[in-house]
Amino acid sequence: MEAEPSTLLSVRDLRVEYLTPAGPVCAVDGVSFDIGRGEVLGLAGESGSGKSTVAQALLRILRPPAVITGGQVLFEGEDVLGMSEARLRELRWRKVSLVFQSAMNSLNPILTIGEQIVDTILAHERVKRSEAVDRAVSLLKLVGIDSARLTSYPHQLSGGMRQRVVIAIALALEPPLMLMDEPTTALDVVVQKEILHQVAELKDRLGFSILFITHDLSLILEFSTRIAVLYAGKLVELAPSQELFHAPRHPYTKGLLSSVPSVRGPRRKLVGIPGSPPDMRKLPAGCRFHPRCPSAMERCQADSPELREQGPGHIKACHLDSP
Amino acid sequence: MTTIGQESQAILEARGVGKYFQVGGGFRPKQLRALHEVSFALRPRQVVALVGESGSGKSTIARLLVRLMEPSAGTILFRGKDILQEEPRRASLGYRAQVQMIFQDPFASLNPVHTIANHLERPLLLHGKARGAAELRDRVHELLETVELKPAVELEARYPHQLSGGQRQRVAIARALAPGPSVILADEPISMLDVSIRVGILNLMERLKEERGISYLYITHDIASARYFADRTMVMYAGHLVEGAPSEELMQRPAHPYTQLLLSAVPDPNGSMKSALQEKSGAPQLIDPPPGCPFAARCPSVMKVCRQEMPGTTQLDQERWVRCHLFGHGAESGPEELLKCSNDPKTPRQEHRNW
Repeated sequence: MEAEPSTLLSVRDLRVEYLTPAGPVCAVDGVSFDIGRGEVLGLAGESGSGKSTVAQALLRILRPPAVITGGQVLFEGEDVLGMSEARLRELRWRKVSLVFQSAMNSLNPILTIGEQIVDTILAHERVKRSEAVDRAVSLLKLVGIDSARLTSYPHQLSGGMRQRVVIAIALALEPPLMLMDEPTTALDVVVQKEILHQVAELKDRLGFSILFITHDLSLILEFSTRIAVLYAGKLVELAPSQELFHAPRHPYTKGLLSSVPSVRGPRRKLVGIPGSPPDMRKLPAGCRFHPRCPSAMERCQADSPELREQGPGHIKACHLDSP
Repeated sequence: MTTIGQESQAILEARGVGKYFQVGGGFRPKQLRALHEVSFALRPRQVVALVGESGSGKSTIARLLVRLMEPSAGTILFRGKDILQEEPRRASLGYRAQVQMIFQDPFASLNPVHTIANHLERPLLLHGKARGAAELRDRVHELLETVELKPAVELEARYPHQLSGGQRQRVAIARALAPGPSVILADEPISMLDVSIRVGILNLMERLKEERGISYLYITHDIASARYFADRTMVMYAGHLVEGAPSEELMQRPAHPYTQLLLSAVPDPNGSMKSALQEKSGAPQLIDPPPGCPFAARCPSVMKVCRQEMPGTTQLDQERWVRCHLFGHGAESGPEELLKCSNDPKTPRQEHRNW
């Protein structure tokens, strides 16, 4: 995979290990993907698949015992993993911002939301306070909150509104890339739809890119341009959303899609996947999915499959129908 | 109000149940209306889903039904007997054996310092389902095998932290099965689990329904899963049941504007985020609620009457009912939007201020 000129972020063979007393546990094992400008890349996977670890590695905010032990992350062509702390400070938030699941609880309870937005702007840019306040007003307007709310404290807002404030803060410096890690999982579906609709509109208007992480397959299919599926720390399939939905190639992706109930269309039978995701400390040999795979062959038990091109922009790591 | 469902066959039934909490103290205490005029029936071998957003009162219903709380109004009938009158709280062991509960979080609902065997032995002993060590052991093994936790001998000695989320939820189901219940109240039993193992848990619950004739009240915020698991689905909004119908019909032909809103907000793999929702957002006012329908402030088809009185139940056909003025006697007055066009000065549009 060569990075194209329109590529904003390029990740190659990223490897993250948790150095536990019982030995290293590899949470992200050789993951590669690109994010283009204005694109939404979905990162799908179950708990423990390494999706949040990837997001934290991109900003280098992993805490020990997690350590990046290999690979390359290029943001606008610049090596992130080799950056100095000072340079990282310019990258974080100004270039890449992060919205995570419990973000609505990350607001400071004793500061008004206006102060928190203004603080973010002043911490990164040399502007007058009055100008920062003006920008805070327009940011709130951008995410659909009345500017009178500038003087509200977090507890005076609903969960959905707090999450909007967090998104406003993530947009405050107009970063080219926003990482959204389960941004709406704690919210009701109606609020979720409203917020993501708004984010999609803002993205089209402002032209930023999104790395969208969630376990909710229907949501990721609706929201993303392309989707990368992670299983037990490895990338197993990557394809354009509609292609992944209509023609999944990896048995794990197929299993996931057959596990998701839908309210639309005819009532399909739900199949699910037998067993449960592996213990990352005791990974099976060969393909990590083979103990749960309905089409597992003998070589799957010993031989870990490489990523192979399946068609334009469609790759998978599976021994099925490969030489 | 009318009772919904066929009471003659109902195994568990709620009639006009309400739960009110007093909030704030001093001279002006306020009332929080968590549940209001809730009536429904659960028949043998039936799965009824209760769907609604957080704070709508779904879990409060379950807590009232297992008697973790007492209702402020209404009655609860089990096989036609009023459990609140006939069985004092402490003497209701028989009722508790019949009506069991599964909770959302299998990480919190199991005791970290007890083994799996211990979790299952306690209800067996408490309800007199096993005597002597040998029988107890056999029963525990039976239960573990019923919920497909094998090998039982190995798993019974483990502690909760040694199991995966799916396995833990299976232990919670086994524990609920121990006293031999006829009704299980399942409060979001799959929402904390990984996507790929949810179907397995629903299939297990379905199999228990077939094999043991268990009825379920399936409480969820995931309306799509209700379509697959539940025979009937009821929709809750702000402590009120607003619609009930066979699940498939509710998905295909939702009657209540809130049900329509919920369905349109469910993520659609074929859709795009470009389409906006019609309705306004905002949480309902539960404390000192205004008169009328609680959904009026957000409803796109709101009429004058909606802000004045709560609609009664309209039976759409034998199996479907709805609580909405669009389907009741108030429908003749027409949507408020139209009234506004005729410059009716008496109905100023109420500002939406539930943010």
